[in-house]
Amino acid sequence: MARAPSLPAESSSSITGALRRYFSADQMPSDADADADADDGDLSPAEALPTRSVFIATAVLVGKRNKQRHLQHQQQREERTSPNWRGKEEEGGVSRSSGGGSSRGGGGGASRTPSPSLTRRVWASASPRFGTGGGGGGCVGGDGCEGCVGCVSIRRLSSGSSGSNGGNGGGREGVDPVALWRSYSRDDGVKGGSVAPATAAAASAEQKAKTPATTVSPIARFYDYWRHCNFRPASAVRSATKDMADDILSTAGEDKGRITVPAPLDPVTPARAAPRTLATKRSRGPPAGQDGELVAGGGNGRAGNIESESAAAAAAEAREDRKDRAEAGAKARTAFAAAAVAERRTEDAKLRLGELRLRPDNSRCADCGAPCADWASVAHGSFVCLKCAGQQRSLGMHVIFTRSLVMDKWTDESLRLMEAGGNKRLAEFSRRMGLYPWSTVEEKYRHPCLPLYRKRLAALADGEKPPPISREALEQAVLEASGEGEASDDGGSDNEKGSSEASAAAAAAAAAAAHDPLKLLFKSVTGGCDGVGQAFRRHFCQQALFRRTGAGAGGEAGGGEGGRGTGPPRWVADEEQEACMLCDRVFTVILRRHHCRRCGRLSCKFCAPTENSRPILERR
Amino acid sequence: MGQIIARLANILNGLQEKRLLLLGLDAAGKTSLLYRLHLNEVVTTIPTIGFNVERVEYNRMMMTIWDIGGQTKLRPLWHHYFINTDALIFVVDSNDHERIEEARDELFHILQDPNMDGCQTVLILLNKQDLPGAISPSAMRSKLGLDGAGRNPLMKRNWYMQGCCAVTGEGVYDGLDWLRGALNKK
Repeated sequence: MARAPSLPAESSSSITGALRRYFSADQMPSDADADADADDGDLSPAEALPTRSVFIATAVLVGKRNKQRHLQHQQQREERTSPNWRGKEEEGGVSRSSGGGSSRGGGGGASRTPSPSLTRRVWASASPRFGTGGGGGGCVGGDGCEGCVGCVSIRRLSSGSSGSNGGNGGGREGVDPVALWRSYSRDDGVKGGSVAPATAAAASAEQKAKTPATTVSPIARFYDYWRHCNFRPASAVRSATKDMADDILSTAGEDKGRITVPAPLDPVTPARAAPRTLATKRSRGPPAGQDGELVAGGGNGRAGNIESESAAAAAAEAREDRKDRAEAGAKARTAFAAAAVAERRTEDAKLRLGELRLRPDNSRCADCGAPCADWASVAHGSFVCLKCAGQQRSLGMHVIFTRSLVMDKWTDESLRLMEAGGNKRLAEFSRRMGLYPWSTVEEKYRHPCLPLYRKRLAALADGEKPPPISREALEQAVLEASGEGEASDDGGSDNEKGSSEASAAAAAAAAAAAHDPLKLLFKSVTGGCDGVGQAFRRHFCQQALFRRTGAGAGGEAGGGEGGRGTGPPRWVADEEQEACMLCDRVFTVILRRHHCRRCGRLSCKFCAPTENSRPILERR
Repeated sequence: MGQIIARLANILNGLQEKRLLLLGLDAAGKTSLLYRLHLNEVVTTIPTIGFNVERVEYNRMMMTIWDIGGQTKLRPLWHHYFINTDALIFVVDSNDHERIEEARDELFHILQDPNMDGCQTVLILLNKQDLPGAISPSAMRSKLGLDGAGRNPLMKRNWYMQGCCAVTGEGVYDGLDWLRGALNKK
């Protein structure tokens, strides 16, 4: 983040004024570095607030707001996805006006009762303002904003069956927008910023009784609203497709009376009509083949017999034919039903994936933290961005199975893996293994302990008890990994062993070294480091090793890096560093400072990850 | 104008213009292969969404190679690129044991398309031959169902199977040599 320009006092006051208009008065910080939970009323004079600290305060506020939002969002989601949610919302009545219209101007809109479409339209025009104002995590869709790649794909995904989706920011059909907005404007106690009270008293009282009043700022409100418009709960989509799929599924069941299969597959008509024509042809047409010969050879007396025989044969044939056709019909029907079931399964899988992807843990790339995590590394059950998916893929598709959430087929197995996994679980494991968010993809996924994680995940997905993360298991995993990597070396040393004793001793030493998993781990983790940030990583790897072995790391852990490995990352202040912490380029007017949002360090534009960027080919 | 002159110069020099299509399942190594040919370098690619096009000159043959993403949902879009294709390069990941059938089905599906009738030259590249678990070309031949007398759309075409490795560049140019010969013969 670039340094905030030092503005004169007047402009700072206007900024504070704007801020105050944005946030409700009771949530304004009373001091520069105060928290968001400061008491109301105690606003220090605007001039006393330096511009810079106002910005910091804003950042803090937004951060807090995001946290709050996540909690509320989850809660509301649960409410909404419960089966009787829709009923509840409809009970609430459509006649109550929404705050959507009034939130546009500074309290300009009084209470009115817009139609759903009107609300939607108003919202669409109102959104740009929030789009620029809401600096919360992720992208905030304005009017023309298509959202980031992840948002777009998920939207496409969740609207799969309902055909085309309309514009952004509330163009969605269905009950959601109005009901949603209503549900957000129910907390009338907090007239955040410009949102005017516009709710019928009785209904709001009813709503209040149901849910405790919470403080939601307009930004959080809009963000929530927007998310809900775009990320419709899967249950809503499912209910639309459910009937159709159920119809098809019922044909696969026992009761054949209800079968409604398309005409060409209908078993009744061809089975009845075709054999009849066949039978008539055979009995009336000129006797051919065998029949003809028999007639020629035998007398008249037998002719009748033959005729009756041939008729019987024809009848039998017709019967068989009918049976065949019926069988074929049944086969076609089951195939059709199977296809329908498969179709529904993939739809379900995609919906489930969409739900998983919406969890706050999974909303960002597991490797780089970019907000467009619409790819999955299936073996690890983690959600990653396109770029990291590419990097992982280059490490070996057979090990790390990367799939697109949108563009790939999903099997039940991989879906189970994704359900069992999740970014949080992987991050937790990597942290325990001494890996860091800024470790390179190669370091992360070539880590000798990661096979253990994959094993655990596979076991979890199968519903078995996962192997524990014990010292023994880790040692074994490390040994296995090293055994795979150094198989050729072992062969070489075996040959040497036969030749001389010295080499045998060396081999023994090597074997001893190989049996010290910690050393191996250290070697494998640090060995791959080169170039940027090598010293950093080595340092942290050492720390991690010390921590694991219990050797004294105390002096180092609390050292200059602020114990970044153990505690939360520290936000490095702008003044602290004059050069990029990764590549040592000195910051200048044109080479600005960038803060990593994951580790808090300062980097230059070359080291900062470019989020949401177009595909870039990196030369190795 | 400059382009026209350049093309004229190409014709005078005896350069042939060929349009090649680079297809295959996702993560087979199509983009890596393309940039191996174009830059003679190993690049770390990201999954292709859409396509990459490069013009590569090799042995007095100017090839315009279209590399199109291979994700399941992108495969139905392949047919838009079929028209006027001189040759098809189909890339198979020889380390991916589970999806060989899928690759075969896709290949046959491509070749059955009426727009591909003009394309009588097919080069099948078995990528990632450097990996320890890779299937050898001879084994792959039977696994892809190409050795039997069974009716497959390759029977009428001029085809060739070549093991290669896009990372080391091994075998890639052998395949291209064959391709050049086959296209010249025609």
